[in-house]
Amino acid sequence: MAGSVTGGSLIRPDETLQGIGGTVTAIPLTHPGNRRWWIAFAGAALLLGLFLLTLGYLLAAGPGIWGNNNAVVWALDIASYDWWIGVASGSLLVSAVLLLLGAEWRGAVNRVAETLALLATAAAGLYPIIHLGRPWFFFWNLPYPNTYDLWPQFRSPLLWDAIDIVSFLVICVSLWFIGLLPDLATLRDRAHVEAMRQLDAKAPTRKLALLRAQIYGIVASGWRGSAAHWQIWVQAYRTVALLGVLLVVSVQTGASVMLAGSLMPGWHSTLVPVSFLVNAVYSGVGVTAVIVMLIRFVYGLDALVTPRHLDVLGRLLLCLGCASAYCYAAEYFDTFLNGDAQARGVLARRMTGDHALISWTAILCLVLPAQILWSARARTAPLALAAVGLLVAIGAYADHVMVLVVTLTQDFLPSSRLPYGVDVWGIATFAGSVGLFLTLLLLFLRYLPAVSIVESRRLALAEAPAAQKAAREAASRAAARPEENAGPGPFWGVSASFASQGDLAAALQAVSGLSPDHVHLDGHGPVPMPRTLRPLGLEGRSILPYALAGALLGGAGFYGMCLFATAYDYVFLIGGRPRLSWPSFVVPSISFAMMAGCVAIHLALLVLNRLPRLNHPAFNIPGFLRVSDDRFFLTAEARDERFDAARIERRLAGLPAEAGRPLEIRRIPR
Amino acid sequence: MTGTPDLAALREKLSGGDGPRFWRSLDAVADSPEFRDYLAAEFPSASRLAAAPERRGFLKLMAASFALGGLTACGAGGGRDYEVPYVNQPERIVPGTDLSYASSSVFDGFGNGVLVTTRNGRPLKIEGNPDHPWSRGGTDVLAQASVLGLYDPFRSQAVQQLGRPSSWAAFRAALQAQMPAWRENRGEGLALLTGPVTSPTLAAQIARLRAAYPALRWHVGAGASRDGLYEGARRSYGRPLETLPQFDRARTIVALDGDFLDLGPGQVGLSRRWIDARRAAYADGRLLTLHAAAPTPTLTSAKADHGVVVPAGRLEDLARDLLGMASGGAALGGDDPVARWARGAGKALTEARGAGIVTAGLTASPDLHALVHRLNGALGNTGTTLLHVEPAAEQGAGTLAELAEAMERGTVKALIVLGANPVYEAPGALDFAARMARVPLKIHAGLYSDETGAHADWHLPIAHPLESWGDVRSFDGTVGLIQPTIAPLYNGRTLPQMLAFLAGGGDAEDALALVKARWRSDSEDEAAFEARFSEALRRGFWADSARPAETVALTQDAAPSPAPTAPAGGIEVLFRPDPTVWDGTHADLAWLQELPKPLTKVVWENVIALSPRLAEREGVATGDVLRIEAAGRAVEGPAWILPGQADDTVTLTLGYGRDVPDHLSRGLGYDAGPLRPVGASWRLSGAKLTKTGRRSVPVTTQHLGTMEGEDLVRVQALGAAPVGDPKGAPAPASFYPPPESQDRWVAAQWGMAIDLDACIGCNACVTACQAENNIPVVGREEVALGRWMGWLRVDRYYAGELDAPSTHFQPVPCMHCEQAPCELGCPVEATLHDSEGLNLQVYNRCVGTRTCQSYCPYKVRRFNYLDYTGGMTPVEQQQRNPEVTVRARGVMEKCTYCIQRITAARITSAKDAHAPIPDGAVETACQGACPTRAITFGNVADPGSQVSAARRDPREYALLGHLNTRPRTTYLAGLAPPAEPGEREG
Amino acid sequence: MAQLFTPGADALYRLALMTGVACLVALPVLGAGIVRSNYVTGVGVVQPQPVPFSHKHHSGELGIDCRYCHTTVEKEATAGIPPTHTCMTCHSQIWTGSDMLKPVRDSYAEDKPLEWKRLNKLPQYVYYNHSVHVTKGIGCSTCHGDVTSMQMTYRANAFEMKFCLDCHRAPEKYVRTPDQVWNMNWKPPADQATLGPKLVAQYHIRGGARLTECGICHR
Repeated sequence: MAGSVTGGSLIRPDETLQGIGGTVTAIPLTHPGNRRWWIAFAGAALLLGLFLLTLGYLLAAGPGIWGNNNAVVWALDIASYDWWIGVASGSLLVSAVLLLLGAEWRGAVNRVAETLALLATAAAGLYPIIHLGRPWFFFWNLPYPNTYDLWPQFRSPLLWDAIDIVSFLVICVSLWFIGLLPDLATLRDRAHVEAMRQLDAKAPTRKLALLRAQIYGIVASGWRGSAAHWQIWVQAYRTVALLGVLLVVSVQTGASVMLAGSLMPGWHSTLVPVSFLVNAVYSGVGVTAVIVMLIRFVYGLDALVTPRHLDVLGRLLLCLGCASAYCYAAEYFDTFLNGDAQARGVLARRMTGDHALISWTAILCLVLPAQILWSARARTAPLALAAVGLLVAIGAYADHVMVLVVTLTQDFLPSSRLPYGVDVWGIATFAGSVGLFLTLLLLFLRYLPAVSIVESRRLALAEAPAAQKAAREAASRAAARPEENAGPGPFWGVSASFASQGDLAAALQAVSGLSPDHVHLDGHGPVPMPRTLRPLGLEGRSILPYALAGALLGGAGFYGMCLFATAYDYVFLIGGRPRLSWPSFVVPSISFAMMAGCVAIHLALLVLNRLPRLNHPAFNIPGFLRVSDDRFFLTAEARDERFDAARIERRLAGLPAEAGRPLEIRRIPR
Repeated sequence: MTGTPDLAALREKLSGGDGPRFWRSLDAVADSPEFRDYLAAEFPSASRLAAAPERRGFLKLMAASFALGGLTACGAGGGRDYEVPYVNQPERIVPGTDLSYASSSVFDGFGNGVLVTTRNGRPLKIEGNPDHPWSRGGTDVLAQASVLGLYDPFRSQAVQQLGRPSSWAAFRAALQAQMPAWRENRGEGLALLTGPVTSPTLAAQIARLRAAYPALRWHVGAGASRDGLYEGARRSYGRPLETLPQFDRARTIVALDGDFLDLGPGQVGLSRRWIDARRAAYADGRLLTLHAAAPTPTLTSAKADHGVVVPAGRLEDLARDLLGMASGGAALGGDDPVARWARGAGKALTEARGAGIVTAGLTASPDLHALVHRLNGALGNTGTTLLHVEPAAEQGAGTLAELAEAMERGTVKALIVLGANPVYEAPGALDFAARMARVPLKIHAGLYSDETGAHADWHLPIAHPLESWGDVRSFDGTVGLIQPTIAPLYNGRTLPQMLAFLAGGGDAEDALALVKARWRSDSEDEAAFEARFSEALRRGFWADSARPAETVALTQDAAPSPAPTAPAGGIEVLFRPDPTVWDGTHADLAWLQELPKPLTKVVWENVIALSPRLAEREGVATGDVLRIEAAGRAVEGPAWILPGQADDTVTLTLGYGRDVPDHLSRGLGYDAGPLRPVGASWRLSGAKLTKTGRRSVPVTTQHLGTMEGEDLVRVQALGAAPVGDPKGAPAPASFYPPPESQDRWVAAQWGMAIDLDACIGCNACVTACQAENNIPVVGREEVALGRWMGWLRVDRYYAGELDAPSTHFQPVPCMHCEQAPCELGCPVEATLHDSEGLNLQVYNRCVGTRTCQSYCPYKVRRFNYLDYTGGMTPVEQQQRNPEVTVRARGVMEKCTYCIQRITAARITSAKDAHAPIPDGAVETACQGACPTRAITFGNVADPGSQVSAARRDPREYALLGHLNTRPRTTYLAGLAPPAEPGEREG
Repeated sequence: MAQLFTPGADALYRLALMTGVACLVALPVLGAGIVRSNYVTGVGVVQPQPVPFSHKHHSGELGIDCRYCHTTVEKEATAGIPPTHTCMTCHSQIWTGSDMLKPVRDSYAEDKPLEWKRLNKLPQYVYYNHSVHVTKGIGCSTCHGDVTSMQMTYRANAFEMKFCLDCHRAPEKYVRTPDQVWNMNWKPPADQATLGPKLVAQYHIRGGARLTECGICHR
């Protein structure tokens, strides 16, 4: 997809590594636009308050506060759930696919998309619990040892959904956190610098500043941009993204089978999983577009979110809009040409019945607005994109309401027809969940980097002349001599700093031959450093076996549990299905496999990198804080007594300028 | 709103054949935008916020009114904390075990035989007494609901003097002070008002009272009196008589405004005799055809094989025409539906001379009754298919109108009202309350401190039939005994006790002794009588006590001459007892209030029914509040467009518009009383109908919907190809292998068959289910939201023409599908199958995802959206069946095929060395209550069982069978006469 | 450059992480343990009763048959708590002056029932029938424990669903010959493995799948 993007640049030519870091980190550290943020936050908090009020009433009185009735047992509650999980799936899919395709422009979008996915999942995850008649027993949906000797009913799509949403939450958190990790380190270092400045100046807020740096430090888990960290990080990020893509398919299948598993007219078309997926991704991209446009506007990130990004988002929306239109068309053709009378009746009622307004909202909002994006001008107009995104989101919600309510209002027996009207508390519940989402989003915007610093930096190094020039200039000033009066030993090791990855790699290559038994070499930098891996001998290290083993073990374990529980441990007669209903267990097992794989990756990321580690001698390197900014460091750690620091220093200092000569060489105390 | 529905177009559409063959209600057939506007107005979306709090308020009210009673009972929460054994174990009462007593239910003074199931000394459920010669095991809604009436917290709980709590002792003292004066002037100025008296004991007590006070005047008043019927008999035979149709000897039936299947004292016995005869005829390859002509639809006209809508004023003409044909006159000309119907009915009657039945209903005019008697006489039916007996009710009392007149004259010095509520029931023209105010001493005894109680000086609580000793005659005169199953909850006395006090002035006599005194002949010795009495008590009735058939001869008077036709113009108003709360006596029973009326499916109120044509002409939509005016009085109520209603006719039902403070019934519906004519007439001509411009949409449990070409209700025309599912055909293909073979210890495979031909839509099954299974009442607002909780509903479908449709009833319980879609959706195994084919619902496991109901194609599940059971008063909780779990908030529930009864039978058989459960040993609550035995339940794996036989019937079919859910509940198609050319399809 | 964290911070952080993970596991285990504990289930806990009735004395030492007091155990769902009258059949003759028995005599004289604290309680949605269990060879002590050794009676089993299922899944392990049903000290005989299935067949007990269906106990 990235290849199709033409015209315009993805990053302004005058962006430098330092500049990118500064722009993005300034938001969480200095809170520009504070007033606007507070106004928005007040609004969101108000909605959140409404949510708490509604939940309180709901728990006290029961789901009867909604307008659901004997026929329309599912209405706004499940529609809201489906919508949120759709938005989450869409956002996650956007971020993950862009990552996997290596679209170099994704930096401006994918952090927002990942965050949306996470927060939408959080909002969605509440619904399966609160919509229950007895929410305090929600955990009966999950397998756990109990005195009833009972398992959940693994053939139920609702159980799949419970597993799906738990897995989805884990993957979202994981992807979001992994992506955020280096940026957290950047934030930590910036905050650290600021804290030191305040300490020196004996500023009154110095303790607060230090605390802030420490909090960022704890969350950053001791990330120091080591070449080994980066290597595993890149793999972990991509693998989790891959698992995410698979999970999205599984989740949307689960959510659609929740309807398609029935006999109900209008629900059990084979197209349902596809249209669910399409509309989910569509709504996810729509909401992502709205939020990206908002952040760009509020924080003035025009430099990072360029017209070309808008163009790409626009094309994506257009593409999905057409897919959605195709799904509708296919459903109508299929039903009218091929369907039974009840299915035709449901479609007719959608168009002309009590809920025609909702249906037409859905179809018009999902199909029409995107069509203006055929125009290139519309595609690059932030307002147009935001408007389309918003309409798509509304359309997707209306679509869920339509699908649920029209079928349930009247299915097979005319006698069971019951009218349903959208009810105030149902809307309040949804508005409240939006409040929860917005509150968390605003907190995220305030305290965490909204645009991926790492990805923008990689893009800058690749494309922005200014960044490349800055590196060259710095390198040309390199005049490193070994430090004259290094402090008394014993040393932890020797460090050298560089302006570019190329220099670092060359230096590493140069010293890698020197007494490898006594020295542990590493490189550190603000971006992944694939060129350093060979000199460091890390080539071929892979996280994939862990992921694969985790996923396979998790999936097989879950599948085995389903089989054991259903066919051997406590056999029940369910809907006339055979004892070994093996196909029923595939969806939740896949979801569980994705979660298990993700957990395995996360553990591998930490363990292989010996993280978390808050205090590390490398942090003693003077100026090391710039490792999350624009500097590259070489460290040679002493492994035993025979470590010869002077020899390494000499070798480094002897390297030709702009081909590995360090900017500075230092001996680092233990 | 722009318009009323375009009914003309609609009618055209239906008759043109492109309307759905079966349709539910008007709005369903109308595919026009106007109708949709209409609907939008009927179901405004966001106007429901207030629902829950209001309902809760109502429950609080109930609790508050209970608190006055001061009875504490079991607390909520899990399990009892204490074991409280007896000090001395009473004989026969075993804690936790059912004990059944034979007794009688009372309906407007008439009895039906019932068995009262009690447990731990509490009456819980009413079953029909299968040995009772009149009711034969059937029950009606009032009998089923009477057990709720016992525990009703609205019941009068104390003696009141001028509205203040008093005591029996105070009352006794006050009266004893008056009695010498009464005795002295022979009871001059004393007036006694009762309801219809069929009880021999009560009659004896009244006789005793009249002997003590010879000048006492006795009057009888009832909300729905049978005076017109008796008057018709008097005109024909010179004395009041009850007519007993002998359906088993009949080949054809003609019902004019006839209500032998409708709710009423005779319903249980008559409908049973009718269906037995119809079944016997079907077994002979015949159809016991029912021709019905009615001005407003009734259950009888709904079951008609040949129905016609006739304006009430033309009924007598129609009877005269039939009489003409019976006497050899020529058939009527003309091609209007009425003439066609008359030709058909006349032909059928003359072909079946001596084997036909012509009946007229309770609400028919005396003229019509007289004509019907003559018609039956002319056809030779009298004495063969129609027997006449002396009325069960004592005759010879004055009427309500005479009493009102006497009060107006001021000749009534003391009025004693026993078990009647004339202030509410008397027609408005009598102005009873105002006239009653002129009486110096007013004593009212009733189950409720009702409108009359409020106007009386003394109000006395009477004992509920379930607390009383007594006796009562059924429709055919059989004397049933009433025995108490619990000590009076509220210190009420029986009517004979009160009369004994009034007559003798002594202390309250033993109620049992009063009954025994009535039945013990002087010559009989003590032991022989005791044996005879206890045998009658065991059976619940005096054997062979039915009234003997009288030989009757028509008087020589000429047949009634044509009455002057009603003045042209104006609306004809028909009055009918309500099909659930009857005349309002039972209006405080929440079960009856929430019971959907059979034809409109309206709950918690009454409506003004009007014909589509009238609605079209007046621009009236369902829910418009109408004002019906006549003779300076008016009634206002919501309109309901009722197909099958005669043009220019509106129907008002009784029993609503009650005004007793704090009572459940207060403020529900409108009171038709002000317009009611005085005397025996049930209709009023020349009324004026206006729209008030207000709207109040009645709450109904069934809305609209077309059949979309489906054959949900099937009709088997005699001689036509079977409409049922093919028998012996392989089961439809399935993805899944057949279930593993049933192991040999599985007791049975349960299944149910419902005969749609037998279902008369009477709702007894629905109420029985509610009583048996602790089904909560949710209140009007919740029903309006679509949350009616009944496990069993009776669907009503229309077919055919808009103005004179044929009506079909279809009871729908859980289908217990073998491949149940609901089970698949439940994530926690709260709904699943057992190996006996039951679709189980495990309430305590349910978390309330509602997936099962959203997957259910029959929508038979019910969800506890709010805490419907927690607000019940402790005294109401006493009625709960301890064998059935009371469902908590947030839990799904549904029909279980009365698994508690199945389990009881299974345990019994298991203890008995695992003998098979005999066929018929398990009877579901709905099955037991059904007066027409429409429901068969049993083991479908046993080819010898009744349900298997029913399933082999070629009429048998599965509802929505094409979905391959393989329901265990199946239906037998209704029957119809062979299609004749020119006959419309029915 | 100064470190943001002291070297000790790492240890603390890791400790905190591990504690968090441990809590994630330990808290549910603790909760489950509490739910199953005798404190919650009431197993083995003696409750104060209006009269200190001793099953050990009456049933164990005097050898009074269970059915003398629990009269309906073979016929009805409930075993039945004896009316005061039953106590007085003997105690109007013996121990007539005992202080301990004063509440019984008072109850009889004043016609006021004794209020015994309930020990064996099932939730309201569980329907248990004594008679069918007893007639099918399930002895009293299987559920109620050896009451003949209880000075004051207490609940012997928690009656969790699992407890019921154990037997419903494999009745052959618990079923007894009819004469052993009332034996409070019954231990499975050596040949239970062969005797059990025979008895199950003899009693027509439908074991396994049928007895574990929900509708057997819940409705």
